[in-house]
Amino acid sequence: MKRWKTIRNKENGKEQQGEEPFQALLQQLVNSDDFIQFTYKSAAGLLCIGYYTSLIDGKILHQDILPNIKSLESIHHLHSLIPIENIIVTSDVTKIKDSLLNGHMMVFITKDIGQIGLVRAPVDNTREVSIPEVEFSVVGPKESFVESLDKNLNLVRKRLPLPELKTIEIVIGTISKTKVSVLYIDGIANKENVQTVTQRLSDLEIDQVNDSSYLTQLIQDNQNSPFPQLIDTERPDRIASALGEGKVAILVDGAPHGLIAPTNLFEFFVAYEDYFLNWAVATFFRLVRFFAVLFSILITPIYVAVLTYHYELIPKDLVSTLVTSRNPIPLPPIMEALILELAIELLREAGARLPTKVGQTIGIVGGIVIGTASVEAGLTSNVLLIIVALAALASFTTPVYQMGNTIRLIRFPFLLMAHYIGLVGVAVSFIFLLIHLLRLSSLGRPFLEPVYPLRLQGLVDSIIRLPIPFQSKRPAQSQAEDDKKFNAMKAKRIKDTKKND
Amino acid sequence: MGKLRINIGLLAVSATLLTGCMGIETQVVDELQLATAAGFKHIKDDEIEATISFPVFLTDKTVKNATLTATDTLNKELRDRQNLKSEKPIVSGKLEVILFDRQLAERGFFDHLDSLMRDPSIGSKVFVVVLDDDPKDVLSKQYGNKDTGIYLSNIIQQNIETGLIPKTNLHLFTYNYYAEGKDPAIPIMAQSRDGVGIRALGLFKHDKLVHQIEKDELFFYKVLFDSNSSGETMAIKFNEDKKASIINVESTRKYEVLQPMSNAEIKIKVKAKMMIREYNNGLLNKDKMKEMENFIKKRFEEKSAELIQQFQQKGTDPLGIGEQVRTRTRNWDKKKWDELYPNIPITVQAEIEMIESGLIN
Repeated sequence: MKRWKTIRNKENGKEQQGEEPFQALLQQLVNSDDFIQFTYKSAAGLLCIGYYTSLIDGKILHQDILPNIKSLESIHHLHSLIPIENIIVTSDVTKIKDSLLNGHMMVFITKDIGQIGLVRAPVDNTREVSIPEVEFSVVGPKESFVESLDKNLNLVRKRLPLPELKTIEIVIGTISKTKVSVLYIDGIANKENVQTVTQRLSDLEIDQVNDSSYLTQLIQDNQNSPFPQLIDTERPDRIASALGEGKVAILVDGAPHGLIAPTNLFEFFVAYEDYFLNWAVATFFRLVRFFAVLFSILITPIYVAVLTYHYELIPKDLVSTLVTSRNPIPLPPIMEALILELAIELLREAGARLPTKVGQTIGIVGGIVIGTASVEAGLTSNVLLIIVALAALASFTTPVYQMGNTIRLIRFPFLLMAHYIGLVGVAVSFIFLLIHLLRLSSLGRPFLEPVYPLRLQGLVDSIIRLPIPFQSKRPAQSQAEDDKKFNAMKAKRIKDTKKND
Repeated sequence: MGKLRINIGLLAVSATLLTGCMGIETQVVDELQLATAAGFKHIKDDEIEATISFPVFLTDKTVKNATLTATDTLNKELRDRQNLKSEKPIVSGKLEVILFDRQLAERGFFDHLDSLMRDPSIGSKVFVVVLDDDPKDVLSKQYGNKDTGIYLSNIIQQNIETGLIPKTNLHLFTYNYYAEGKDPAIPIMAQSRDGVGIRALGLFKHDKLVHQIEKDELFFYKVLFDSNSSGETMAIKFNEDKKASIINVESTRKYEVLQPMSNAEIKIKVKAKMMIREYNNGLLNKDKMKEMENFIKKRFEEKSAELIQQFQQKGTDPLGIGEQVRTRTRNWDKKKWDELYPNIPITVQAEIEMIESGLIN
């Protein structure tokens, strides 16, 4: 703790120049075993090279730097000897330190004491752009973000070749020094949104940012809400389309997921594949997803409420099925439901923690063996088993993983309320949920936007997805400076020139 | 942070205080005795015998019918007496059929219905039925793999949907009971050699059974009763061995009341499209179809008039003719109508069209 403090104090202190602090820095650097320093005899006396082996590409060092550097006479001639762009010569100790940690190597000669040359030779060991796994789509682009910010920016910029696409770089984290880029299209995105995002990011007080999900949790409007208020996506095409709608995107170095804001509840149930399908099919799939959410949250609580309090509601033909399946079970419906829900959560958690191949086995063991065995042993009724399994399945249809987790979590308060006061409890919980959602905002914009407040402009692409010519305007929620995407009249008028004309 | 702490505190306090309010009695479905049918039988004076039937669900997925019987004067007292003998608490939320024996129906049973209507867990779609036999006897028998309540309810349901019984339930019974110018009509069920079934339609004056429409006449009643109806079937006999069966494809019924609240004639106009289902009088041709149309028209008008006359004599109005008059006048007077009703000439005019005669190859 004390050590970090001293480092930070040095950073914050006045710019220290001269040999004395540089010597101190050198001392500090040499303390680490992966910092390498060696001295040559060159044309102009002693030549010293220092770098972190873990950060430097050996190939550049061997091919471009070492063969050329021997004839170095003055540190200012460095750029004419080495075929690497943007060589800096400085005496700023802080800059030297930062550059060394960012994959530069330092060169200095006894002749030009106090002047340090910095050569960029970072090792590129990020993984290749691969197929999106979380947001897989059968049709459409198959590239997803990787951990390198530069690669990710490249993926977005390729899709938006515009000078208006601007990025603001912010460094966050006192020890992780994570580079974060805020992306927006100048002239489309609302300046207020950009301002809010950059301000919230630069105000952050945190030591480490290891993933973009840190930022989601830290900068969203209500941090206690189980609902994420920023979409995270691994698809560059989704980010590009969000930017085109006047939204702001955040890319984090080291995170394979970008963030989009402002956003609304309905966007969390939009799979990007929807845009690659015919509008009728896409609308159907979206409706299925919304049904799945409601089903997943409500079906088990309704089962518990009806079986515990409202036997009158059971249709007469279903009574015998329900009662026979529950007959051998000694537990009240709530315990039965909780046990099964817990079992499903255990299976999910075990599957998530284990390697894929073992995970599959867990699915089979849990799903089939435990399921049938517990029914046969008379611990759970098979009707509830079906219901809980369906509800779990339905919760997995949510395209945004974070939202899927939320859906699974908010089922439990519903369950308890259903047990305490029956369907009234389910209704009360639902009211609480609605109130909470109504109070939520994303970058200060209402979270239920196209529905409440009702905005037809956004409604065409929310619960339903109308044909692309109908989406000629940017959604009202992003409050775009220019809300016209394209000319709707021209888009709807399809004219074929005939041979005879 | 302070606000959050206050909120959590409030939540904790209200949760502890409200647990007292949450002591709602649970009614877990498999820990209840779900009565599906209740039968009432007149014993003497005020005393009635009540039998409930309920399903017992066995683990091999079969359902056994069981009954409990008690005798008392008050309906809810009966429940308490039955509860004394029951393994699980008896609840009436899944009641499907309420049966009254003929004796009780003739004495009037509205007082007994009262307790059933007051109970919010009893649906208004429960069937009310008159039983020609002993309710205890009928309810204690099991028909198929279901309890007798559901079985009886299915019989009635099926006949309302596809057969000759007009729509009936607890709500409609009480509606017609209180309505001015209309009287209730509910099915009469009885045991026969091959089980239990609907025998006739019982007609009520207030809550007393006064008359009944037999099976053969239900066709005419149903067509007259519903303003739009379809699917009713009728057999007609031309003579000893020449018969035909027809089905009503679509019929409409209209009233013509020229001078309401007077002795003037009331006309009921029926337009029906019918189809021949069975015919054994040689080849059908256009002339014969025409002949049949006339035959049915004559028969329909005669039979309907006869039925209405019976209603007038018994002082019951299941067709709701009074209600038709009431909607056409501002001088409605219940007492005056009751005096007028038996003597008003009511005629039926039928217009029959045979649209199909089936397919013969």
